[in-house]
Amino acid sequence: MNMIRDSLDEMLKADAQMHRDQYIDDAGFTLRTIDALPAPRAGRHVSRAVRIGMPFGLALLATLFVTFFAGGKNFFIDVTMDLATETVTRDVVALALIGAALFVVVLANMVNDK
Amino acid sequence: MTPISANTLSALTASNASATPVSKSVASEAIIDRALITRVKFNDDRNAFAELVRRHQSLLRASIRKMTNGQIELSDDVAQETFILAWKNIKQFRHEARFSTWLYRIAFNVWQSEVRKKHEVLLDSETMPEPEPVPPESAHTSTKHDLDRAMEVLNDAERSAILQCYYNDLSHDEAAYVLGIPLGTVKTNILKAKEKMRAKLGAYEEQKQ
Repeated sequence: MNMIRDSLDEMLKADAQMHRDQYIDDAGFTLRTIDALPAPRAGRHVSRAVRIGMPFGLALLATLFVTFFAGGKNFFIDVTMDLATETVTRDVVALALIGAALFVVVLANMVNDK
Repeated sequence: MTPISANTLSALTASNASATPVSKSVASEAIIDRALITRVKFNDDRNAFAELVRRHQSLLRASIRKMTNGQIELSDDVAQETFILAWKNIKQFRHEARFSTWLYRIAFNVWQSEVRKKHEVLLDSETMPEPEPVPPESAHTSTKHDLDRAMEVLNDAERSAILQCYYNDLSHDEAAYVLGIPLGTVKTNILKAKEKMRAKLGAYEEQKQ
């Protein structure tokens, strides 16, 4: 038992050394691995901070835009009234553009995440 | 960081390839790894990454084979997944550990998630397929067989600690990093594992006499 106590460490080290010295032939492993790597991303990578900041920035711009065009009127109530009466006004077009821009930004973010 | 030209790197790699494994110094290995990693990080250089895979595949696959109890196909799948994750996350590699140690860490995590996925219990001989037969080597075979059988009594944590510290030749600190556990736990697991193995080997000795 004492011999085992003393030699276990040596046995493990010797076995481990044999284990490390045993070379495993590549046999196409590297090629298969490289083939399995994901394709490089097209276009420039946009950092997460920028991607999160984009919708907020756009929302801020949209607010300024709306404030400028509304000229003191209540923009959203006016647009709702226009939509209810199926009247296409400058305000309706502005809201549609803002909505489309936000949609594109969100879609771009989703694609980038994938 | 000073860029390293492809020619310099090729020369380094070529001279290294001609050297015997014994003569390879750890420092030069680290320098070559660092140069290759830099090329991968900044240029998404697949050739450089292929070179990294070639350089590390043998040790990593051997280590994973030990981890999976000799299941060659499964261990190669785990090794491939490890390299794919390394490729995806290489920008996060800050050279705080050796590249091989970082790979061991990824491999251990991949293996753990594989075990969880299959609801297998590591080292449960009833659920694990028989290890592939190893051709007889020498007088060492008997000792190796005893060691392998003694290791079967270890639990997952103890076996992993022995694997990292002996078979992957890592320090206790590095093993703690790979296994994601505190240093003290690694030391405790090693001690417990050795006690169990000594008891088991003692029993074999008595049987032989």
